[in-house]
Amino acid sequence: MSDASSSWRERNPGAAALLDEARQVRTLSAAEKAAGLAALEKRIASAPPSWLFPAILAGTAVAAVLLCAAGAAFYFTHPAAPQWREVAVEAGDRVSASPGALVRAEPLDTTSPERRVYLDAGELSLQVSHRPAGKTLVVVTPHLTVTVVGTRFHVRAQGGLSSVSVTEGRVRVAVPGKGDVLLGAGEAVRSDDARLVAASPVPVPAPAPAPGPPPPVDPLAAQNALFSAADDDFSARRFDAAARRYADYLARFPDGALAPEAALGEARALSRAGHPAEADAAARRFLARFPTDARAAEARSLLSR
Amino acid sequence: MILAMAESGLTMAGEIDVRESLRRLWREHAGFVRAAIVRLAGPSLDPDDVLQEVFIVAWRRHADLREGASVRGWLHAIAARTVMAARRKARLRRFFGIDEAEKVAGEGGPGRDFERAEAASLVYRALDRLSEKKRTVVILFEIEGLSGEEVAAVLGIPKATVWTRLHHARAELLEALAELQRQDPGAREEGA
Repeated sequence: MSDASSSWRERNPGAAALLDEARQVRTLSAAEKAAGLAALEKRIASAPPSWLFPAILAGTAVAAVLLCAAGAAFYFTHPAAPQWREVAVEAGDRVSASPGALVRAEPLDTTSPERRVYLDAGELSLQVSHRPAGKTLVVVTPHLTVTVVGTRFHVRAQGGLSSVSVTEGRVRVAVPGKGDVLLGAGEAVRSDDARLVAASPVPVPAPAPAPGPPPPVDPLAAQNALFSAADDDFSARRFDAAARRYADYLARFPDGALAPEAALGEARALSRAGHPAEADAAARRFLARFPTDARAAEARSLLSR
Repeated sequence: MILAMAESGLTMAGEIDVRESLRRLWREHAGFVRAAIVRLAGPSLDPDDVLQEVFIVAWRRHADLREGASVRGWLHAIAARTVMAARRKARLRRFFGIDEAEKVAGEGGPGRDFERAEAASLVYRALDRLSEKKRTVVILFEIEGLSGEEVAAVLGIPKATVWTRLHHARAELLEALAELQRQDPGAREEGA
């Protein structure tokens, strides 16, 4: 191979000369050598003993293994949190039960005006689609009953109490032996709430004497149906129709549980429909009748200047 | 195991203070090791820093030196590995912008260690275009003047691998020198 090397150098004399010149380096002086040794001894004196390096490496490896083992142990001993499960009620509804909740839905009966879901313990989260007039969903816990036409709400039954919180729409919560209360969006109630004691159940009007027996009408369901229809019109930007339905509600159920909402809804709908004078009058009626209502400020904003 | 110095180098023996052995090792081989480091690293590294590292490794790994083995070969192998590691580290630092671009010979930096700074600058600029493995083989063989067997021992690779790398490294080196010559007509003619 040395022959081959000589041959390469002979064929490339310029490169060989450059390589030979690059070989020539400055030599270390005695002073530099002494200074270098002093620096080396200083570094070694401050360095950890050589036997420590394998120990550090082994320690690092053991720590890594322990860390992996701890991670694996945590992974296998902490399974994912149990998931809420879906409860089949009706198409369009989304009802979820908390892990371990005791819940059952009444079998579907198309002739019944209401569908019942029984929650004996645990939590339910419900998003209920709007029912046709006369149809309701009822959630029954050991402590209260929730009646709904279409809304989103949450029910909990635990520790001898039940609670309801509403996200959208309205529900009627009734506690046997106490009374009932109407909850709107953002409101909540517990089965031991004082309001339930003070509230009176919605009166059921006596059937009108008529030659033929009229079909039985649930007054709450009728109120909910009419009010929901007005809300639907408002949402669909049919403001004139919405105003008429709110006014119809107030005429038919002047003391209905949804009267404040209907009065304000009428003023809002008239304003959006482009009838400022009528909106002003409706807002004034609302303020006169419900002066302490939390939405009075909104009603005042609808008054014409 | 304790290191002891023999006249021709270091061989294994017992019962001598390791620190004193290190001093003797330094006095007898520091110059040779530093020159090897300068040639292996070129102008890109500070040879005195690497020299310290080499002797610290030697101090820590003195038990690896087998009785009768060449101390110079052992130190040469440590120096080659240390230079390669230092160059990798320097490349990473430059890549991440921690260090400025490396200095070249003739600017008062590490290149001052070459007697012929201009030639060294040209050669090492060309060598830096080679892979680290080819670069090290061609330096050990063509500049350090080691035999193929010695290069194989220093790098811990088969002799056949040394020849293969050397063959390709030489071709790439000639090409790189010619390219640099074209880019900088003032540089020395590399010759044919």
